[in-house]
Amino acid sequence: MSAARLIVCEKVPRWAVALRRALGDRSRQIVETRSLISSLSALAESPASLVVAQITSVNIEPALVWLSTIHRDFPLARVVVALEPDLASAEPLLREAGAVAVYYSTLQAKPMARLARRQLALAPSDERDLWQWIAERMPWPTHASA
Amino acid sequence: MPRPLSPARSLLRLLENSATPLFAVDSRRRIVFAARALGDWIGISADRLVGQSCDYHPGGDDPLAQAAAALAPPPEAFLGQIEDGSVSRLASGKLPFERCAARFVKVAGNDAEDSLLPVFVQLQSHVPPDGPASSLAPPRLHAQLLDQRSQLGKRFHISQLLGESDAIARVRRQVRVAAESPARVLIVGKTGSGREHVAKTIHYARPAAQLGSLVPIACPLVDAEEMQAALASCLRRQHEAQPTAPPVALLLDVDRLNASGQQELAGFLALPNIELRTLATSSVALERLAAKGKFRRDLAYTLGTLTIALPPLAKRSVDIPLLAQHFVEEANRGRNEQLSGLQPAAQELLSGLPWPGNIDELAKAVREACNQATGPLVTAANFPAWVHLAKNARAHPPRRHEAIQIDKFLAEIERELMVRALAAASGNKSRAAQLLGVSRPRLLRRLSQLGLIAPPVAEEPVVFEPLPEEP
Repeated sequence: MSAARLIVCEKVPRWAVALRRALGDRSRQIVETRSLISSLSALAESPASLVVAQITSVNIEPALVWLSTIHRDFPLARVVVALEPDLASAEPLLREAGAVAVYYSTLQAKPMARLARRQLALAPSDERDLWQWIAERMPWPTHASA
Repeated sequence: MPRPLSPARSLLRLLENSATPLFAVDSRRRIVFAARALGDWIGISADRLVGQSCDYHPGGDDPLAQAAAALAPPPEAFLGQIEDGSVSRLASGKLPFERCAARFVKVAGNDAEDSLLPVFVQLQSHVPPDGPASSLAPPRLHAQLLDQRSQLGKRFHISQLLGESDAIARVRRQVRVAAESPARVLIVGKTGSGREHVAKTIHYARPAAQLGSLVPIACPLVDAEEMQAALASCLRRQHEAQPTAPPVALLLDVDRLNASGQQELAGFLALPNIELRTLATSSVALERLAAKGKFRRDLAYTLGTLTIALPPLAKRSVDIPLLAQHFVEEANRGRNEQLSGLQPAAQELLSGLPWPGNIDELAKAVREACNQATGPLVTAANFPAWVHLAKNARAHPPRRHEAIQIDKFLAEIERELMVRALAAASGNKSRAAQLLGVSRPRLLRRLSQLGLIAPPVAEEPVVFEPLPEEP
């Protein structure tokens, strides 16, 4: 599993569609989830991901807690918020809670995709040496010789 | 005429007025009784302590919760495994931090949920020895943590600043200076060394009247347009939240800000009538980048008025046991079964690793180990496979750009596989052959060729002598 994917969390797939168009060949790295909680499971598999979270008046309060959870448990992950225009006054608060960018319309899918490409490019590379690579594939690790 | 007290109430009155600081904790680690003398000792009324949780962890932000947590008996006492140990009094007002001997007397109830643990604080007695490796024993580390938290105060988020090494003591002094200064601060350190954490510590340690909003900006991701939007949002937050306190832009990994983002930031900071504080984090010194032409020189000097360099964990490995104890106690929050600390073998395992991911990596390892722990102490076996793999990999230092003899290399790997398979099969060669997916004869042949068993002795041919003929 790749360390970094684009996780899009929204009830109705609007941003995911727009991002697939904007990302082109990278679109197969998009994972869609329907709730903030399920996006945490996707993050556990790819902890250096960019998460696009659709925030509405319904989920804005839990979103603030969710942002701090991501910050604590997935320090390499970054969150971008797709915010309802009516909630624009909440943008500074969401940024203070950890959102790296806030967008209001799918017409902004291109700048969001640019940001996503940069995050995916920052995914940690495999710098383990050969012995570590082999060691990770060796069975019966508890019986390793000293 | 007043009714005479029942024997139970008389006993209770006697205990309440006892000269010995005494308290009792139930099976859910709640203080159910506290003598007046205990309140006198810790400087908090005994009545306020009743009902407080006595978990073996930092105790949150509330002073009462912290004082109660400092009194927490070690988890082994609740299991009836120890009767003598220590409890602590946090420093407050005129009272200094103090660690005192204590006696634990577990009183079992009808079931496990029903037990009681009276604790007698023995003010005149010496704290009992903590064990052979006393400086690293969990009770001593627990007391050290309480003392450091006491000294560092409630304003600091302290996990990355814990430690006894000179390096981290210097960082703590610098953080204090930075918290009291309006200067722009740059925190330089490797990934996982706690740069962001230290930056937030500096911000939230400032006096409340000077506490503006803190807006993080992920510099590797933003260009000029996103930087402008983030900075504008920062200023907007100031107007809404605290009009008197300037906002603070937390520039994360500012060394990776691209050229257009640097230009936007430099321009913004140079604007007149814009009061914007910055706290920046970086993995390298910005002047060094500027000297190579990779960072704007003017911005490097603007952002780094005060620079704090965080040491990598490998350079202060003496702090690893205390940090690990801190993360174990953090994991105790919300746990039914509390953990006391790490076994010596587990501490040794952690202290011998390089921790390229620094404190974040150590915290992750300890959290995962705590999830696997079944007893009051975390063992080496509780740590995840990647920690043990890191230890094994250290036994084979990196051999980059070195020619190998592939047959010898592969034989080494094959040998290791066979050793492990035999161990997993408890020495049974048939079973080991099955695990390896080879026939038993083939396994025996390779074991002999690799020198893992003595070669089979060639059997002498059996010669049958003819029977003598019968006369």
